[in-house]
Amino acid sequence: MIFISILILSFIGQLFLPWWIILPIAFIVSGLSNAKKYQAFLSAFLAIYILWFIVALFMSVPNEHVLAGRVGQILGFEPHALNWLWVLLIGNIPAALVAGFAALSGQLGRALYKKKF
Amino acid sequence: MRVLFFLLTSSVTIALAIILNMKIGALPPIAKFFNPFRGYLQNAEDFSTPTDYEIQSSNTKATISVYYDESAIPHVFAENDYDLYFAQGYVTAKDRLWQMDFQTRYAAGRLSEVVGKPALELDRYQRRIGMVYGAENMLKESLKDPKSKLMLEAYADGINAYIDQLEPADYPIEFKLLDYKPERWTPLNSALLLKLMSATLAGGSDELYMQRALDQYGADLVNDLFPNYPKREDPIIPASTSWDIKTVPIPQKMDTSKLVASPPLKISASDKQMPFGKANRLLTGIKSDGLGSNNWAISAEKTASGFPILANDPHLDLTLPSIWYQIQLQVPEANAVGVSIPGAPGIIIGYNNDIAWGVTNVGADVLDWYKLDVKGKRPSAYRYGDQWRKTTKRVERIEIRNETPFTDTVFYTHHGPIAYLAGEKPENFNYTNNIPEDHALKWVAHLPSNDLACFYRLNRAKNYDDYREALRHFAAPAQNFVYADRGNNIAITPNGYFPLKYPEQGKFILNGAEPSDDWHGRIPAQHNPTIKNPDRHFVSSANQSPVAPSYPYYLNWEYAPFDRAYQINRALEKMENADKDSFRLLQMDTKSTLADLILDTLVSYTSSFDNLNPSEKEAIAILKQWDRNYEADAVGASLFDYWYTAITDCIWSDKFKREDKKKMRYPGRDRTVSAILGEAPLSWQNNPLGATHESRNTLFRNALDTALTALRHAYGEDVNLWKWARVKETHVPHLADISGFNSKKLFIGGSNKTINAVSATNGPSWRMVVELGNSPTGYGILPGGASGNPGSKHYDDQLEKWAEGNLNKLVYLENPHLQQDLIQYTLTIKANP
Repeated sequence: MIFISILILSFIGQLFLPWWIILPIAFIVSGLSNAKKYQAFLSAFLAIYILWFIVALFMSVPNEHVLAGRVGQILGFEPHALNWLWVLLIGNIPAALVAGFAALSGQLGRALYKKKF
Repeated sequence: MRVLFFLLTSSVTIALAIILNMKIGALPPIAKFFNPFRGYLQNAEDFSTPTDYEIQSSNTKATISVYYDESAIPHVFAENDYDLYFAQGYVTAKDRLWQMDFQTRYAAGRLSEVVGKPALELDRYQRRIGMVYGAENMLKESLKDPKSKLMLEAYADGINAYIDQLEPADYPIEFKLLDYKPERWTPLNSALLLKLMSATLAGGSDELYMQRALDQYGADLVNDLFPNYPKREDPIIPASTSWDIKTVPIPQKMDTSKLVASPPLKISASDKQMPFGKANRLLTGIKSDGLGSNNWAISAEKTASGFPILANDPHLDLTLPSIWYQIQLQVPEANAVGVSIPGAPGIIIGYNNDIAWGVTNVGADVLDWYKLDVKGKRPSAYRYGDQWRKTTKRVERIEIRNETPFTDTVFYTHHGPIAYLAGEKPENFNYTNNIPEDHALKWVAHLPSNDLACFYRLNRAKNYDDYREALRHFAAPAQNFVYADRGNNIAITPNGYFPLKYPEQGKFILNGAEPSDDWHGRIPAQHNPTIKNPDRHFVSSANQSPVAPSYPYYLNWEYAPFDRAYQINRALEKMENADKDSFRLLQMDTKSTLADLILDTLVSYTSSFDNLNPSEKEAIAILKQWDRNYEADAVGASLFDYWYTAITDCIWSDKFKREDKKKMRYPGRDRTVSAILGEAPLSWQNNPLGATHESRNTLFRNALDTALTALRHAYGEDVNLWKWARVKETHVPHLADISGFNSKKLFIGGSNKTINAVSATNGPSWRMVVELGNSPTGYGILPGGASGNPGSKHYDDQLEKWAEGNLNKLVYLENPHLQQDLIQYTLTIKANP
């Protein structure tokens, strides 16, 4: 549930807002859901990782992956036909981590809130 | 505990998000960059063919159609001049916005704003040599001409119409990598880009090195080694031409010895004497051997078609995005096609229905240093004649990313800016090696000019008279304008603002206190050298001497070596029934005149040793078989090139040190050849070529060993690894040298000593051949493509063909409705009043 909610809300949010909108989305969605901490982290991480990967693929395929391949060279990869795939797989990790930590924070916040009342 | 844990995790999350949204050092903001919704992937262009689309503009007056051909080159059809240049600005920005922005910042000394402190010395340098000063003077003058004003403003409006509708997601990828925003365009930016051309082509300066040689060795030796006209030359205007010019009085050098004593300190008001108001400026690189270009035209007598053919290939430091932007510009009264400078309106090299034109650099001496006697550490005055003149100050404020701005004060004399005062030159910044301290810079690029008027007229020219009229308006950087028309006229004119000087004025440092050392105005434009329809039925230029010594005015003492010109002229003499392929093949010619001149001598002298070691023998054997073409797989070319360089060092390096603080320059290639051949022996004592046969043998052999060691060291023991293309490593780097955006290495021939002047990263930035006729047929190729976006298939789609030496047939639309098969899609700009 956390996974799919974050994925959908982040997709819609990012059509209009900068990437960091995934932070409050993951925090709030996680905070409203009852989940284990590692589950919240993983769900949010995967939601953003997969969302970004699919959208990236959607952009990169019509480009025949030329630009992603060039970015691979900027990252220091030796020229190789599959560089683009590595770029798509690696480039998503930082943002996915942010989502994961945000969801974890959401769960921790929820625990605090529940304890208080 | 839980609270602490919550706070810790939340802080980590927020800190991580902030870091990933920030540029750190050379790293772009990571998450922002990889965000597929707004980051780099938004620049990944869909490779399928775009469809027609339409935009509205409240600036334009009528409907404009921009037809894109299969190379993504725009063909603009407009009803009036405003709309034409508006559309040119719009489509150029669409393809090249980052390049335009970055080059403008480079020229204006504003890179620190976006890349931070590492660019500060570069920015200071650009301002201290007066880049902005020059651009402001040019702009002020250009805006006085209603046509140039309209061009500049319409072009800027078009660029801004494009910028204004951009979302951050649409910014060119380099903005995302460097994390900054495009800035709105102003006409000053266009002037800055034209100044950048002057900096590249007319910014060379070796007066300081020449002066050091003169001070150390005296006039006799310097005259011998740095003569005012080479022994071997094939000037642009044939030497047999007689000059029917009633010259203006030619200045004479004054005896300045009596001026040594300082006059009493009495400061006169001199603001009125400031040449062109106050301002700022450009770049004085070292003249580089081989930076140059070729152009030529032949008349109907020599062609198969019965119409003239014209060719041009300007050589520059190659970059991606491509230096030139191809475009066609049509209004009812004119229809021109060719290449433009991204950032400047009009077409610089190209053709229309009636004429074709092209340019190569002249290399006249249009930049001089004046030694000053200044008053004070921050000089309020400098000596001039028998009085003291006030300096003026120009304060340069340099914004630096994430730091407090830097304020620099530059002092100006009536000559120009004092680029660096004593002690001001930065350490470890090689741009300033050739700049003397406490000297004022006088440079043609500082003068007011309206060069765009030249291209406005050339784009619309119908005949020879129009061509001549257009050229009057061009000042800098002086170019050899080649011309051909369908009425079977051909012409060439070394053209620009040539200062009127006494012979050798500016070969060495000039005396800033001596009024007779000032420039004496200019050579009248109508006295610039020119030739029309010569008997030999061809005209050509390759940066060699524009004229033989019989020309009555002094232009400079040294030009590019004559090798390319010699090859071109011999080929054109022989050419019969020529067509575009004759020209294409000549542009790709890699024959070395230099090798023809000296290789036999080198080989025979060196072979006279009977104790050559195996690798020396092998080298000699390869060189004997080498056909003297700098072809990609020629090992002989690498051997010869390295050997020649080593010989040059052996002959000159003791006397003319190139490294330390007392750096000087070597004599030119022509003098080196004479020394090698023993035609003009070196007069100084202990000269390395000596008087004997033995000393010559030894020098050549030692140099060969040096060359072999260097090649072995760099490329391995096996001579088969020394193929010329491997040694040369031609490639086209990205403008900001971003690794993934550079071209791959190209395995191709050519050198800075041959017509096909492809060296490591320098070469033909555009190759063009135009067959005139009832309707012209043009061919051209860029070492890159139309788009500046590394995510476009048109970023480098012409590069392969360029490397192979082929040309694209250029699309020249005359009636788009009947030429639909040449059009891929159309952008319509509708006027929206």
